Amino acid sequence: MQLTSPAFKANARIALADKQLQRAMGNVRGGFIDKRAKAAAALPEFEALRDAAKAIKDHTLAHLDLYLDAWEKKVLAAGGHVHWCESAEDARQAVLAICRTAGAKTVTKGKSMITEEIGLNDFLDGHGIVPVETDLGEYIIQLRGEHPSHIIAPAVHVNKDQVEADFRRVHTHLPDSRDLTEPTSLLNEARQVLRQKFLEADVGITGANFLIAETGASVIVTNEGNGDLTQTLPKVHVVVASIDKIVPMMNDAAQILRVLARSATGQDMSVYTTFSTGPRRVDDPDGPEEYHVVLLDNGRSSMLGTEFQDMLRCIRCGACMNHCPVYHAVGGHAYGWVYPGPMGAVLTPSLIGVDKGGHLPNASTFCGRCESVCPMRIPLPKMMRAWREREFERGLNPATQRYGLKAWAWLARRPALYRYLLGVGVMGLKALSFGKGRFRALPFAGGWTKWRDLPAPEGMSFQPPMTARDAILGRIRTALPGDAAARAKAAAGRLDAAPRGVIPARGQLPAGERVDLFCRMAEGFAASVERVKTAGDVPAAVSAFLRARNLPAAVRMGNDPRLAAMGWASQKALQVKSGPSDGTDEVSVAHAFAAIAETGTLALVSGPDNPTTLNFLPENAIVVVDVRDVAGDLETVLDRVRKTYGGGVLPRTLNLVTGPSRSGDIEQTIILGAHGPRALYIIVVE
Amino acid sequence: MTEAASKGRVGLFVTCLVDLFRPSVGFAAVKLIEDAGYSIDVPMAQTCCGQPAYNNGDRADTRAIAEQTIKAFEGFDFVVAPSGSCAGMLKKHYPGLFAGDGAWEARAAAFSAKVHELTSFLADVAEAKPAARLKATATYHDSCSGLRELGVREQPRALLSNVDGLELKEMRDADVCCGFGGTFCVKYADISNAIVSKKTENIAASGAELLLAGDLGCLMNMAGKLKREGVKIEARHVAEVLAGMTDAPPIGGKG
Repeated sequence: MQLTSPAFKANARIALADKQLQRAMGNVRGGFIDKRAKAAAALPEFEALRDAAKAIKDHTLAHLDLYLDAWEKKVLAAGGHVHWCESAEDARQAVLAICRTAGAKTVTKGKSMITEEIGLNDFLDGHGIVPVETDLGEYIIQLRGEHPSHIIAPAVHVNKDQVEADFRRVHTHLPDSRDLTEPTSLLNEARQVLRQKFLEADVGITGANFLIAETGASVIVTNEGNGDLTQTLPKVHVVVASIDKIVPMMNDAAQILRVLARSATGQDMSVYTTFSTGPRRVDDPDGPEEYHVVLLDNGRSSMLGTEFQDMLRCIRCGACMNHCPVYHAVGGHAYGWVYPGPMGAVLTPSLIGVDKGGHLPNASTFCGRCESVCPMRIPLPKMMRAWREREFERGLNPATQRYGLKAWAWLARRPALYRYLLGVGVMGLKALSFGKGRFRALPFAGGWTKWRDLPAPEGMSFQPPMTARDAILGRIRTALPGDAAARAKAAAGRLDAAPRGVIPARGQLPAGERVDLFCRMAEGFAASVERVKTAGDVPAAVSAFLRARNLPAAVRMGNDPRLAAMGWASQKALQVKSGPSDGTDEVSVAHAFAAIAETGTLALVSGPDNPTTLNFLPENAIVVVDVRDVAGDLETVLDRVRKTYGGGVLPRTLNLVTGPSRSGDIEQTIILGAHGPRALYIIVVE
Repeated sequence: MTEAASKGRVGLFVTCLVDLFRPSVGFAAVKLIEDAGYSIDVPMAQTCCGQPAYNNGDRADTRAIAEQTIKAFEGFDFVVAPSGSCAGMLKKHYPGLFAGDGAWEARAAAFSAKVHELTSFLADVAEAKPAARLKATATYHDSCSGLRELGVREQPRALLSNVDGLELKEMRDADVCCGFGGTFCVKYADISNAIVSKKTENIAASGAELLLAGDLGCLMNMAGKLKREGVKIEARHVAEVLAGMTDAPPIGGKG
């Protein structure tokens, strides 16, 4: 994308005069703030969870090289590939190479800020591969030729009537007379158009909210289900993620998840939290055949050990911008690059340089509201001030010779980078000598070549050239203080244990009350719940559900023996199809691995018993839960996963589902049935 | 009041805005602190808390200013400022300026521990219940630094609840920034204007006839905007009302 951060003032003036934008920004001021406050107030442990989440990330950053290494081993063991990338260009090339090998013509994309950071869409487009954004908000702005103005609500600057105009302009195959006045009709139209794209795509690209060292999983958190269709349907799944997404354990992700959705949208849990590990397994009926992680540094390792290290705790919830008076006034585009608001004001100068991003940390009243709501307790105003200090120092010390020495001293303290750059320099010098083996003259070396030739180097360093992996890990190691052996011991110890952290009291109930709470919470998130006495009652309950909803008497399910034993023959009129979904099914039936009372969440695992496509493609999802599988909290379910699959191993997909699919991308109005099922029907077997 | 009878010696950090634009806030603060049983002094060696330098990245000058302030005030039992922003600077940011500098670090920490914003000093430390009368409906703006750095929220409201005849009407988003932000309001004047316009909208919608706050910077910003918009709501520092000293024209003048 075009960088306009240096023109922040002019951007702001234009934004302030933009009536459409000003109207749309009213939705931020209202919705997000009230919802977050309500969700935080409803959980007594919220502040303790913020402390726990911060501590997890601080520990992870202090042992980042070790956890990256452990994570990589697990990805490889699960049959995945890891592509270490130093820069945005490296990452773009890595994605392109994967797409070309797959012979890709179109790629679907889940919502991802990191692919905005590396400018992936324009790049793929320029190389003959069509990227299709599938998150409703991202789809809208892609049609408009824009970039996200908010990290979780990319189209927050757009009003409903503008979306209608864009859909009429682009979806010319649909009749002009159709009614698009309601957000629901806009959503349905996008659902219909994008469904075909999901099924046709050759490669699916997602970001990641977490990378988990314990298992090698990447985790995405969404509400629409588009990310899951993106990573389940195509033959190849590419995850683009930065090095700061690592957490040691699944339990650590569970802790941070509790503050993530609450801080972002005010939900207890987002609808879909999905752990993806490697490609599909031998007996899996669906899922990608290849799994790649493009792991990006792009300046982050250089933030370690500086006053900006705390910024690497950021989990991209958007709470800081939702509460920022400057963001409210000018919107996200005025910031002129990928990341807006307070987190952008700190991160942007780190990634593109303070000479270009210098306005952003200055454009703050230091009102401190961002820090007060940041789930990771990042001292954003303090870091904006640190940028101002760096700018001030630079003003006093214009570029002098001193810089050369200082730069050298800086480099000399970073052996990995030193070696890397020296290697590049040496190769360059060799190339310049054109095989003569010496120089008669060389810029910056006049003192030498005035009187003598300079022998050219052989073209290799005594120290071997480095891979991106070695360079990144080397930089991290050099930046982190502490004894190497002690650090290794701390990380290994943490990977062996599975500390549970802060567990909210809400779900810690005796069995009966726990099931009641699960049902109540699930209904609160718009699922319908029915309780039946025995497994044998399930087929009749399914038939009754289909009749009540006026749905055809047909369902699709996997080979789960628990489902098979329920006696479906009793439902004479009901057609039961088996296997994964091909996208034409109205209704699916799946059996949950477990359920979580605290948030009304279902846990489903992939495999021939319950193919993942059944959770996302059909219009209606029916999920059976055994009361014995209803746990109080996510950590208990993760313990059961470890017990069932062996420590450190996951099935290809672990889905956590909280209610039916939804989107708030059109004027922050919540509508059900974005890309995943419109209705979720849970049958609890006593 | 004699030294012996006093509950302690207070050094008043006047703040540069009060000094230059509205000394009556300073007089009101002196009266409130004395009435609460403390002896008070206003050291001549004080200037500014250093925020303009600090927030524009000039750490060296900030530190020089901080040293001067600490020297001028470290002999008092309490340091009180009629501003959450300046008190926040003295209390929360000064220690960081001396981090790692042995003797000065301890000196700065000892100084900062004694610093209080005026209303929290009156409510929490002095446990004062100043008696005043003012027949008016007022709305209170929570200034950012006082609210989020020092936790000042209930104290001014509790003190105001003792003012005879005064009715408090909360505005929407009382805790949202007014857009002043020190030099921000001139460096990014357009954005500052957009933010203060929302604030004055909320002030007007509250139905109050008087706007109160604990920081003169915010008050001058909001009062200036209200005047420019022709809104007939008066603005005063909370200390003026608590001290019963509302004879001076409101901030930005009458009408």
